[in-house]
Amino acid sequence: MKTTKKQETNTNFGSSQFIPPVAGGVSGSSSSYSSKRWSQAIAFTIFKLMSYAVVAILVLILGFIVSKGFQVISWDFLTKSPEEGMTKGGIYPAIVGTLYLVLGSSLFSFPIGIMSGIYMNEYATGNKIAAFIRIMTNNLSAVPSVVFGLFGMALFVNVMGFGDSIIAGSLTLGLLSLPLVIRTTEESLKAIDFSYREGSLALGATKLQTIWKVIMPMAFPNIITGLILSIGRVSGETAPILFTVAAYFLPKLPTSIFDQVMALPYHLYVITTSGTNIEISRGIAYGTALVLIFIVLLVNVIATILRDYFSRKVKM
Amino acid sequence: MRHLEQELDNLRQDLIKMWRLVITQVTNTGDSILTFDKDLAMQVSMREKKVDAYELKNDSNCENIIALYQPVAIDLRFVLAALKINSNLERIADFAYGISRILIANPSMILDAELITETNLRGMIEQVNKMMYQGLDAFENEKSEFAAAIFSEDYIVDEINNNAPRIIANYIQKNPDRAFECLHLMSTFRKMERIGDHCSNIAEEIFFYIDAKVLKHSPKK
Amino acid sequence: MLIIDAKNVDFYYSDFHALKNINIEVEKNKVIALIGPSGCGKSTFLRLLNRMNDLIDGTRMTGSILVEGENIYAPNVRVDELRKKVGMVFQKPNPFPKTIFENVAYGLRVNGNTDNTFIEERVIESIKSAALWDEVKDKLNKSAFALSGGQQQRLCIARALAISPKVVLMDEPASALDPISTAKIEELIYELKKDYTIVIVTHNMQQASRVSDKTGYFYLGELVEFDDTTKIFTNPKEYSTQNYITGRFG
Repeated sequence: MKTTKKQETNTNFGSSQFIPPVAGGVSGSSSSYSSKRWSQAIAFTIFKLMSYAVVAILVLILGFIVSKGFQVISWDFLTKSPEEGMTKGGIYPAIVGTLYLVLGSSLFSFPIGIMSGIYMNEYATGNKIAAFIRIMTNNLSAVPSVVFGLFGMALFVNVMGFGDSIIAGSLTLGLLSLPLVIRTTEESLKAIDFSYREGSLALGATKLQTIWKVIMPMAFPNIITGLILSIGRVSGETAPILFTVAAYFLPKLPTSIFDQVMALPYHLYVITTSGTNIEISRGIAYGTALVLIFIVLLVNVIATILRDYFSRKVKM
Repeated sequence: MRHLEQELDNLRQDLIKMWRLVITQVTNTGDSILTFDKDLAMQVSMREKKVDAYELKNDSNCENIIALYQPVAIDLRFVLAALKINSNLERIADFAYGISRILIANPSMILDAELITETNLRGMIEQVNKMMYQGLDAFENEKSEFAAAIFSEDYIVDEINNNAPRIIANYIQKNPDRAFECLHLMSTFRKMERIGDHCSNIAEEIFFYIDAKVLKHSPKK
Repeated sequence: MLIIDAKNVDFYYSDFHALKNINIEVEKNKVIALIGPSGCGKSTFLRLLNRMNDLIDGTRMTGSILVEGENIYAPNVRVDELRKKVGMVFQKPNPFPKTIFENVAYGLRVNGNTDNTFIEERVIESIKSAALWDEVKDKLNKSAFALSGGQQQRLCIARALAISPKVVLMDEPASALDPISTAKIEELIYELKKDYTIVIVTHNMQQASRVSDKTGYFYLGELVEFDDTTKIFTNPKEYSTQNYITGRFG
């Protein structure tokens, strides 16, 4: 910052030497310059303060959760079931349930999302079907998550008869993350210069070979980032699992995909709003929140590592 | 005007200036020999340096244009033609200078008016002057048809030149005491004839520049 | 025999008439340069020769283009087979995110070659033909992205040569390169002429005059003049050509 300012000052001296020594000309130009410089300084100060404010809020939330939740975290808290009306014990089933849901929804949304992203960017470029799919995808991502929950309940729980189960919840969460997966896939593919496709096709490669051997390896680091972000979103959602899978209290682990499970966000919701003793459970609530945040954070770290790994593999 | 066009125009202007100077040299030489005007001959001799300076300048202009702008098509032909016209003009000026030196070296030389009439020296000088003007005209107006006339003019010059030795030899037989002057006259004819040849060469270059036709070493009609 | 014979080619991008009645005959082992101002259709014509324009929606072509006597726009022509015969090098070096070796091997692999000894021979041969061998022989397993722009472009040429094409199309192959790399590519083109027929599109007229045997001047979708390069650059027939090559254009 400082050096930039210095340089600007220097250029000012330089340019003022070129201005003919008419008194008005010189003073006019330097005053307009200093007012320019002031407005610039003020603008950037405001921008700076705003971005600091965002960071401050984030630090505040994290600090609050960590300070409140840290004391309840223990090995038992992580590995035991809730006890005595969720006022004691751990949150193990909820952690496991959340992981199952994340895994299940990923299995559903990743292949479908990536394939439709590829279809839209590589095969159906510019045609009406692709435009239609794109509009629908955008609409889908604008739908409130509770509506997804309702839809999931109607379709997967009732019509398809899965009941409240991991599969119904996973499919619902999968639907929720689908637009994000499709969009990131499409955007990642779009970012790859067309000349790579031409280069491959010009060597007699088919479109599929081109996508599989040249384009996907290049787009993969960015796609991964999108996938992980969608996992982050899925693991924190409450509304879609409310009617499709989440159990109020279920101390045992699921044995099949048709079982109900507990999940961290829902568990947090339950013990803060409708537990047997909200006051006593408050500590557990903060602990649960901390674990949830930690999982999301962990997922993001893994995402970054994976992305770096794959982009290094591409560049080597 | 583009940079290259500006450079080409400068070259053209310099070449035309040199051309005018050389024409003056040739006409002055012709006048001085016909009128035994030693002062005029002296003037020609002194201006020779100026022609040489032009030649050097045009040479380096051509070299620079080729090196810096890599001209193609008509531009390239123009520069190549200018390069050759430049050296032809310089040779012409050399011959004019040579003739003027004869006059300066022999201040007492007087030629028999009858001999001059018989050999048609005046006709030859006029013809050469005409060819010089025609060449410049063709170049300035970029009209190759103007240059075409030069080829037939050159035949007339050649004819006068071919007849001269016999007439001069006869004269020497009759007037052996005038042999020295006659040899100088013969040399003047030779030089004038060479000027005519160089005018033809220039005409060929003008054809090459304007019509991209190579007329060198081919019979012209 | 003519290796490329384009007859009455008209080409449209939707409503835009991009090429108007183009006729070009190209002999074997010659370098053809296509010049002309931006948007004149020279690149469009080049991309017709390996059907790269198929990738663009809403295009239409009439007339015929024969490569080695076969109409490449006949309905039964397999485009991938055509592209093996007519290779292409692009404006921007576009090596794949693979090793140097795999970049050159790519064309062979996608065309179903599995014989590794053959692939290795072909790769080395192609890199040598592209005058790149001395610079990369110790790092064949390094990423192609580690090469300089000029080396990348020669790698792309090697990649095109690996599948033994008959014709190599070059779309402004040196426009993104520095003068030294450009000179190397131009030298290379001169060498490759022995074994391949090359059609090169270039904005650089000096480049066209240096590398090519014949030059075609395109203007507003028409092939204004197509003649020996020496003729085009000393005494073009058309006034429009002369204005363009002497820089008096527009």
